[in-house]
Amino acid sequence: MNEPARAAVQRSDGPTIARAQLGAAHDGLPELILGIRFENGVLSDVIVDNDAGIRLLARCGVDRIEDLVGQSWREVRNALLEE
Amino acid sequence: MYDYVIRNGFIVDGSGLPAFKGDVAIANGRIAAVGGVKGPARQTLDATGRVVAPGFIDPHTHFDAQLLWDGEARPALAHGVTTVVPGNCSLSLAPLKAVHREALSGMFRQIEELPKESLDGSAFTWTWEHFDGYLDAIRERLSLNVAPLVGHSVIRLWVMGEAAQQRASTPDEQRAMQALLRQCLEAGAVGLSSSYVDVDANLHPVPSRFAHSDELDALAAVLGEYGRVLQVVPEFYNTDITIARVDQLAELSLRHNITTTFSPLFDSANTPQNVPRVMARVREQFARGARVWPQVQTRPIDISFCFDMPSLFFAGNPSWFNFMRMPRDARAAALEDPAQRARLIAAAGADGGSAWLGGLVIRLVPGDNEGIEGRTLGEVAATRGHGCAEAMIELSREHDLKVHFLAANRGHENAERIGPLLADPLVHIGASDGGAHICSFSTYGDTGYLFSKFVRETHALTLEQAVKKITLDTATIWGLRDRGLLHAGYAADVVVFDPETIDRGPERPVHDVPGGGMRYVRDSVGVDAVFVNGALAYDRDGYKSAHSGAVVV
Repeated sequence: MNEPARAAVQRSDGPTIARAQLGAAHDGLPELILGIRFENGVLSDVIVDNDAGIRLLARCGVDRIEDLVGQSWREVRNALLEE
Repeated sequence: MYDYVIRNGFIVDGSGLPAFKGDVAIANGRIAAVGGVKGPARQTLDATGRVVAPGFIDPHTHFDAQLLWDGEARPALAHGVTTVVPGNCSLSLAPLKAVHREALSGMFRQIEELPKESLDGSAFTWTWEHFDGYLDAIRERLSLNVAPLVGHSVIRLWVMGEAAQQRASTPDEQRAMQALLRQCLEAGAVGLSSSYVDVDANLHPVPSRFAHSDELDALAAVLGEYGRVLQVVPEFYNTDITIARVDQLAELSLRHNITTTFSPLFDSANTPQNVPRVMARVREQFARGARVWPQVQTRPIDISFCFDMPSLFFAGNPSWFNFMRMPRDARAAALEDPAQRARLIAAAGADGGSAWLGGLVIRLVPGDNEGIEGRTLGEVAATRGHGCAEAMIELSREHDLKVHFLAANRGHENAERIGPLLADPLVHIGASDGGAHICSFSTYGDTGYLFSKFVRETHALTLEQAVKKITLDTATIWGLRDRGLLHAGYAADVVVFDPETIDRGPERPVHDVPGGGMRYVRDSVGVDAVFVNGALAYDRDGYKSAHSGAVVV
């Protein structure tokens, strides 16, 4: 993880990515399966498609899926909304 | 005089009861007798050592367009499939006003990955607007049966025009949709399909996704009048929303006395609680008297990629991932730089990428002069005297980055979990998606895989259970009254297969889509003969152009 990414993790508030894994989507493309941890402790799965997943890694300044852990849910939202 | 007698087979009649040795006689398109058959026949087939079963029924396909040029839905028929349900996921080719053809074609191309030429009128003539007109267009060449769904999105498009992808419907519009649905059901639609997931060619939600729950309720009321089926694609990527959809479907089922089914339901090591939680709610709803059938596919999910497009597959290896997410031209240029190639090869591991990449299957090579399609990267690398990473790079360079690779069994792949799920009495085996995603993977052969993997290899189901699951159970769920059983009087849809070898063949690309398009297919293995409505439609010598198929409800 690079320095800007580490700094982003440290100042993150609200729900964060607690788990990130590579999965296989129904259409034969890879996808990201993220576990989002909410402030009340609940862990909820969010699945991100191939294109949005690539954007998410870029937004977070990381190049390994496991380094998404600790990033804000806002990055996930923005990666999904970006086209 | 019988038309056919299939002699000395092991009869697995679709009921789930034990197989028995005997004969099956066919006359006038129907099963005439089962057991010890006396009397002459115009033709006989020796089925010694073979299973004789009802033809298989595939409840989730997208053959709507293919049936316009291929009434055998190849290769589905060769796998023993004698009835298909097209029109899933809210999309059918009728009813459709001429002015909306381009819009709907875009949705089909997005979902089915068909080339534009296959839907622009060059592969067939658009002769219809209404549902009965579409059925007339496919009926003549049918060599298998079709139980067609009508799509919610096209009904919306007909009634609302462009507003179908902008807003909820008014009460007047809902009444117009109800009237249109009645027309389709009268013409022969087996039910209505809807989707909360699919997108069109511009990645905008399909029309059904703009419907509020009152609209679906109004349409379900019409299904109730006819006793027909509602199929829905829920937000299957999220367990909580899927459970909410199960509840919604259950309410519609109870209120309107209809059968509902949703697809797909996947198992994954990454989301291990998905299936148990959804199935728990399905059980609760069945216990209340609702009918909410989850469809589960038999085959695992593979990941495919090529260097032409960025792929998350490489996101575990920073050097490779940073290379893959370069702009396309920069990526191609990087591969021409010896230093960059050396860096990538070094980053693949001390073994040259053997452990990481060696098991990948080479799926598509433009031209394929070496005959390497279907072989593993490890095999090809050894032949070339390269490491695996180097072979992958060189192959991609030689073919303008268009070589496709496949990482097999990356989802829905744990047979210890999938087997019991398929055997669950509340699971509907289906969701093959036959005719869709044709450029990404083969959607044919799931029935053969059911027998090879879950009957022969893991014993999750008996032969009789597996046959029942894809014959009588399916016919019952969909209300296909005289199909799915080898009983006298039933339609003579029959498959003869070798229980020791029935399987799906290896995936291979073919270029037989109108307009020059390619698709992946799997040939059938171990299927000797397929009868549709009493006519031999396929045997080991090939397709018979029997044209004996029908539109069935």
